[in-house]
Amino acid sequence: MTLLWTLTGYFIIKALLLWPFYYKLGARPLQVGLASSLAIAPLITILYHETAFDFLYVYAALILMDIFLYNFLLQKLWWKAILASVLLNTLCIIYFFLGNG
Amino acid sequence: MKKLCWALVFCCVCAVAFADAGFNIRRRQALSVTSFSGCNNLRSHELVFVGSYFSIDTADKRPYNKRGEIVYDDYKINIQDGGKRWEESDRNIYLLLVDASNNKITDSLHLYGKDYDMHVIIAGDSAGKLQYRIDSTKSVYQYMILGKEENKDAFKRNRFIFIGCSLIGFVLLIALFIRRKNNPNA
Repeated sequence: MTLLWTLTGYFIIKALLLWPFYYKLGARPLQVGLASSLAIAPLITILYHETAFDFLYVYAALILMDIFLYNFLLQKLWWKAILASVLLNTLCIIYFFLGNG
Repeated sequence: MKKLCWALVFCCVCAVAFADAGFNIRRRQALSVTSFSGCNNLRSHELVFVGSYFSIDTADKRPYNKRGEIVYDDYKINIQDGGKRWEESDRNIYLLLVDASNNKITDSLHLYGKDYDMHVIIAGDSAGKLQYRIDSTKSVYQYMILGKEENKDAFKRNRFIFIGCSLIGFVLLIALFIRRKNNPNA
């Protein structure tokens, strides 16, 4: 999958789909989604193709990272951060596997 | 609201189960290309590529050079793992040197296509033995930025763009943290 499509998909999932969870915060969920998409999508592409990392652990690490981000950058509400993180990262990893599998 | 939360949890469980299926997909890695040159130096023999010795059908009575593919100059064998039916043994490249006059195997060559691109330079055949040299270079995964038009020389540039994008993302995240720290209401 090209970088353009990876980033587009990740932005749609991690920013646009994140927005309904934190719609009261205006554009801030979009900023966080954009930054985390830019940081993560190319990194896991390299990890996927050049290393033998078990992606189950990568997936778990991404969920933990996003829980931390949503909780500290958006709203201090653990249950919402966990729910959003698990749902969005799962969609992301499925999209990633479909594109790169 | 409670129903919505339960619906989301249900979606998460289904999606996690679906994602779990993807963790077993064998990931696509660098393509290993084996190419050949100097096949014209073979005077009385032909070099035949067969996938595996075990794939040779013993009931097949055709000459050996009819059972596989005859290797010629610029012939390329591309090996890339991936897919559900992939097996590590698919990396084996078996080549047979077959006498063109009586179709008997006089020599064989076994290569293993992983991590390296190989260029087999055939010097000739001497007393039924294959004379050859192999130049190998590390194979690289072809990252794509916008489309499939990128060539192999673009590997370093494309990889740099991937790493650069990732760094920009992390810098943006750090900037968001700093802004929030300086302004708790942000």
